[in-house]
Amino acid sequence: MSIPPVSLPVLMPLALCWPFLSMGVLAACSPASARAAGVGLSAVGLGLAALAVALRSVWPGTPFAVPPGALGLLLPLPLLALFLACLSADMAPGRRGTGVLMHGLAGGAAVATACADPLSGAVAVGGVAMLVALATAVTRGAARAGWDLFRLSLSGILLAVPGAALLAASDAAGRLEGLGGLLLTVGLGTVAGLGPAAPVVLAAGDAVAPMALAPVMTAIPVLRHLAQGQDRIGVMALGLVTLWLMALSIRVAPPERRGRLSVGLMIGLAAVAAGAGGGAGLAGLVALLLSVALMGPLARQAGPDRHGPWDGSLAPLIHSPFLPFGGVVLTLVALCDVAPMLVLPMAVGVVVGSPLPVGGAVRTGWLGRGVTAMLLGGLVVLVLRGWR
Amino acid sequence: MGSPLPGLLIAASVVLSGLRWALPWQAGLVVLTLLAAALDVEAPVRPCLAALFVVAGTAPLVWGLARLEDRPPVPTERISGVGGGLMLTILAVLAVPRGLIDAVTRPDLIAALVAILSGVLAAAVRRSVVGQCAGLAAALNGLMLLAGLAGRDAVLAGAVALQAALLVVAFVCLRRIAWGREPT
Repeated sequence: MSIPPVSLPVLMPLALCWPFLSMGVLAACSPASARAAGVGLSAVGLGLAALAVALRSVWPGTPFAVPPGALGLLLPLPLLALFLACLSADMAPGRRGTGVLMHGLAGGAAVATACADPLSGAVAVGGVAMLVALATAVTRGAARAGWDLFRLSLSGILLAVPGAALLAASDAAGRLEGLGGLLLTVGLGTVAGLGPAAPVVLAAGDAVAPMALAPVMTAIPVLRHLAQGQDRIGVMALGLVTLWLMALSIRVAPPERRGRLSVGLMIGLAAVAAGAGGGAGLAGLVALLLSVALMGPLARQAGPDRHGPWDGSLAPLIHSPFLPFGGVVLTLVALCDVAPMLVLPMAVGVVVGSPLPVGGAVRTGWLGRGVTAMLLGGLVVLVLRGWR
Repeated sequence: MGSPLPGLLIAASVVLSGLRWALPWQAGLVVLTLLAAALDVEAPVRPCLAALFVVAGTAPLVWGLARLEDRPPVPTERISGVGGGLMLTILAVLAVPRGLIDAVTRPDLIAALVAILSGVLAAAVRRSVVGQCAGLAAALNGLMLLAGLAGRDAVLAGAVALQAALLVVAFVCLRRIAWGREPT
C-alpha cells in the first residue's frame, strides 16, 4: 500500500531557499553567536529537506522536485554535509565569510540536485563549482590553485552545457544524441572532479576551507543527473578511472591526506554504481554518497596536527562492515548484471586503495563515533531493504 | 547557408586557439557568423544579442591579456592543439547528422562545437596561464554562438554569466600569477 503524496506547495521552495536565507542571517549576526547560529540554521535546513523528501514535495511550475525513487534520498545530503561541517568547524571570527559561503554552496548543490531538467541542472552545478573556484581564486595566496580549479570547472561546464542542449533538442536523434550524452557526461564529470580532473580538485582542496566540501557538494548533483543519463558506459569508465587514480594516490600519500583521497575514491565508486544502474546500483549510489556526505566534512579534520572530532585515515572504512562497504557490495552486484568484465578491476582498485592504518588503530572522537554508528545503522538498512 | 564563415571559424579555432593575438580574429568570425545567421532566422534578437556579448566580453579580455607576459607555445603544445583539434573536428563532422537541427544549419553547429572543443583543448594543453585564458575565452565564444543560434534563453544567460566570471578571475587572479606575486 503506497501513501499518497501530501500537497504542500510551500515546502519545496522553503527547503531550497533556506540555505540562501541562512547566508543573510549569518552575515548579519554577531561573531560570538555565528557558530551556534550556523549549527541551528543548517539543522533547520536539513529538517526541511528531509520533510520535503518524505512528502515527495514539488515546486509547482518549475523543474524543481524531489528526484524519483531512491535518488530522492540525495536531496538532503548537501545539507547533511553542511550540518556536520558546522558541527565540526572551528569558527574563528576571521572565518565567518567561509561559513557563510558554505551555506550558499549547500543551497546551490540542493537546487542542482532537485532540478529535473538536465540543462538547467548542468547550469546550476556549474554555478556551484564556479562559486567555489571564484572564492578560491580571489583568496590571497591561492591564485594558482584557484585558477586551476576555475579552468577545470569552466572547461567542464563548457562541455556539459552544449551536451545538455543537444540532448534537449527536440529532433535530436542517433549520433547527435550520443554526442550530447558524451559531452554531458565528460563535462559534469570534470566539474565534479571525476577522471583525470580528480587530482586537480583534491590538490586545490588544501588551499582554503570551502574547498574541502567542494567535491561533496558537486558530486551529489552531478551523479544524480548522470544516474538518469543515457551514457552508462561513459559514466562507469569515468568512475573506474577515478577509482584507480585515487587508489594509486592513496598508496603514496601521507597519512594526513588519505582521508580526503578516500572520499574521492568513494565518489569514483558511486560513479560506477550510477553507471551500472538498476535497483542495486541506485541503492549503492545512495549508500556511497551518503557515506561521502557523512565523512567528507570530517576528512579535512584528519591529520597528526589536528585533534578534531575525527582523527586518522578514512581509508580502512572501505574494508569495514559499514555503509561504504554495503555500497561497494551493492555496486559489485549491479556490475555483475551490467558489465561483469569490470568487476575485477573495480574490486582490485578498492583493495589497492584501502591500505591498513599507519601506526595502529584509527582513533575517533565523539563526532566520529556518532558517524560510525550511523554508518553501521545504514548497513542494517541496506541489508534489509537495499537488495530490492 | 552557403557562407564560408563557418569553415573559416573552424580553421581559426583549430589552428589559432590558445593564442591571445588570435582571440579578436576568432571573436570577429563568431560575430560575423551570428550576424549572418540573424538575417536568415525569423527572430534575429537572440543572435544579435549574443554577438553584442561576444564583443563586450572579448574586448576587455584582449586588452587585459595584452598587458601580461605570455610564453609562446612549445612544439609539443602546438602539435597537441592542432592534432587534437583536427581529430575533434572530424568527430564533430561525423557525429552531427545532415539536415536542420532546430534553427541551426549543420555547418554552424559544427563550427560552434569545434570552437568549444578546441578552446577547451587549448586550455588543457597550454602551460601559460595567458594561453589557457585565451583558450577558455575562445570556447566561450563558441558557446555564445551555439546559444545565439539554437540555444534557449537559459543557455545565453548562462554563457553571459560564465563570461563575467572569466573576466573577474582573469583580472584578479591572472595578474597575481603573471606578475610574480604567486608561484606559477
